[in-house]
Amino acid sequence: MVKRLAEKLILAIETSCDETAAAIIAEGKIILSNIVSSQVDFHRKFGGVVPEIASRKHVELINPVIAEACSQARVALKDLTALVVTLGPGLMGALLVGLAAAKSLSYATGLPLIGVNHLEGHIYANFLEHTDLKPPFISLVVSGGHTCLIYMEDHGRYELLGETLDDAAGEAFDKIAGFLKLGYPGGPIIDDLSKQGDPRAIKFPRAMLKTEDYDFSLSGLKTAVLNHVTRLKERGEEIPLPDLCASFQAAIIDVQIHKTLRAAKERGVDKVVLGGGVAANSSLRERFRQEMEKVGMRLFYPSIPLCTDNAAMIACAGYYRWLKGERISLDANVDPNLPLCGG
Amino acid sequence: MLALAFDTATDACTVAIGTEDKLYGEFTMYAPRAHMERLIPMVDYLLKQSDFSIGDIRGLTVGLGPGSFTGVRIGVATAKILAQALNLPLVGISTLDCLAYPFTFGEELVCVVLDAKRGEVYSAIYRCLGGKFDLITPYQVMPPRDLCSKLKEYKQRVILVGDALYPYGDLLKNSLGSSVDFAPPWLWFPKASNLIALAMDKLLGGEGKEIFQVVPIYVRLSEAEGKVGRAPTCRGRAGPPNGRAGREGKFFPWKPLKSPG
Ligand SMILES: [Zn+2]
Repeated sequence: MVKRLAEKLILAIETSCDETAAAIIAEGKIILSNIVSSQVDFHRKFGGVVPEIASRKHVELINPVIAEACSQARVALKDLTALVVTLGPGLMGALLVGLAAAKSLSYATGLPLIGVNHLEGHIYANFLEHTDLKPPFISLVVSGGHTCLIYMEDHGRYELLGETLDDAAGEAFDKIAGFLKLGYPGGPIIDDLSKQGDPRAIKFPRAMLKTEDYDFSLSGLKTAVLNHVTRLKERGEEIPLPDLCASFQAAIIDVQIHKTLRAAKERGVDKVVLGGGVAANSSLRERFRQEMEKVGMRLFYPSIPLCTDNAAMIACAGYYRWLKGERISLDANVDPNLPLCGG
Repeated sequence: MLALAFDTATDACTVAIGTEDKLYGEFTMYAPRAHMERLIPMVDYLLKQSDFSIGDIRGLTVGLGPGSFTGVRIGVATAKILAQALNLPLVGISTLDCLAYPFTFGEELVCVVLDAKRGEVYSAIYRCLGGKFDLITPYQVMPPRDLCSKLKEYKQRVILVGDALYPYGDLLKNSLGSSVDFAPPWLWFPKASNLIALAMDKLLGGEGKEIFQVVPIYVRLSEAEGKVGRAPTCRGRAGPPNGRAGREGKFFPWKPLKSPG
C-alpha cells in the first residue's frame, strides 16, 4: 500500500438503488477508484428494480466492493481521512445496508462519518471533472428515480424549484421500453433507436410546458405513446420504432430545456449543470448544448460513467460537507425521502 | 477468545461480549424498527462498560435470521464490515438456533416460532438431549395452522418459544392443548449470549474466515422472485398480487448447523 499521508482521502459508499458502489477520492476531486457493481442483470427479468432483490444483493456485494475500492486505489483503511455515505433519497432497505456498512466501518476505524443526499451527489459528479465550475447555477437531475430542477446557490445550499409529479424521466423510458418489448433498462435502448429517427415525426404532448411552476409530468406522455402504438397495431401498421422513440424523447427534452432555461433566467445565473443517469442520453446532451449555446449560457454535464449512480460523486459531495465540519453520529438513520435542503 | 455477538432479526436488538467460559456483558432491548439507530451505540456502550475496546475483540458472531429482512441485513452488514475492517473471523448463526439454545439441556422437542408477518411464522423444531440439539426440520415459513398439524404428528410434548407466541399463542394453545408448553415470555426474543455459546467452538476451531460468504437466512424468496415463471409484464399493467403459492412452507436449501459441543 502506498502511503498518502499528505492527501485528504475520502471513501464513500452508495447503495440507494440497485448499484452497490464504493469509491476513494483524493483532495475532493481526484478519483483513485470508483467501483460500481451493477445489479441490472438481476432486475432485467422483472423490467425494473425490485427493492428486496436490490437489498439482498447489497449485503452480498458491499464487502467485496469496498475491498476492491481500497485495492484499486492502493489505499489502506488506516490511511483514510473520512467516510461518506448516502442517507437518501432512495430505497429504504437498500439505503440501510449502506449506512450499516458505513457506520460499522466508522466504528472499527474511528474515522469521521459524513452523510450526503443522493441528488446532491449527482450534481457533485460535475465538480469531479469540471474544476472551474462554481455555484451558483441551475441543475437538472434526471434519473430512473428523479426529475428535479434545483437552484444551487453555494456548496450545501440548495433550493428545489420543481420535480416530477408522477414518473421520473428514467422510469418513463423503462415503461415505454417495456411496453414496446425493447428490453431493460429502457434509457440506452431508446437513445440508440432514436438516433435513426425523426424527433418531429409524431406530435406527442409537451405536458406542463406552459405552466408557471417548475414541475414536470410524464404520465400523459406515456399514455399518448401507448395509445399511438395501440392505434397503429389495430390498423395493422408497422410501428416506426426509431421515429416513435425519437419523438417520445424530444417531448421529454423540450419541456426540460424550456423549464431549465426559464429557471436560469429567473435566478440570474449563466450556468446549467446536468446530472443523473438520463443525463447520459446523447440526444439530451446535444439538445441542451445547442440551446444553451444559443442563449450564451455555459453547460456542464459529467462523463457518462459519472452520470449513473456511483460513489465517487458521493465522496465529492461528502468532501465539501467534511470541509465545513459536518458529521453524522452512530445513531444516524436513513431517510428514503430525504429532502434536499441546505442552510 | 473474546467474542462480540449481536442479533437484529426480531423486534429485539441484542448485543453480548464474552469468552468460551465467561459472559462479560449482554444488552438486550425491545427496539422495533430501531436497529439502525441502536446497534452500534449499544455495542459501544457495552464495550465501554466492560472496560474493553473494539480492538480487544478476537471473533464475531451474528444472528442470520430468519426474521425481518431489513433487520437481519442491518446486523449482517454491520458484522461483515466489522470483520473486514478489523480482520476478524465471523460465524453466522441462525436466529432460530439462538432461541432454541437455552432448552438444549432438557430432553424435549423445542419448536421455535417467529412472527413472519403476512399471516405466517418462521419455525424450526429441535430434538434436545443433555446439552446438544439436533435440528429435525428445515428452517421454514408457513401459516400457524400448518405448524399445528405438523406438531401433532410428533405425539410428544413440545416446548414452544419465540415472538410468534404473541400473535398466535392462543391459536396454538387451543389447537394443541396440553401437548405443548410455552416457554416464559422473557425467552421469546433472542439473546446474543446464546450466539457466543453456539459459535465459540467454530471460532476456536478457526472457522469464520470466509466473511464474504456470510449471508442472511431469508427462508422466503423475495416477493418478485416468487413471481418468476409468469411472463414479465410491462410495469404499467398490474399483475396479480403476491404470487406466493401453496400452503406448505417453502424450504430453503440452508445446511442446518450440527449440535454444539
Ligand atoms: Zn441516482
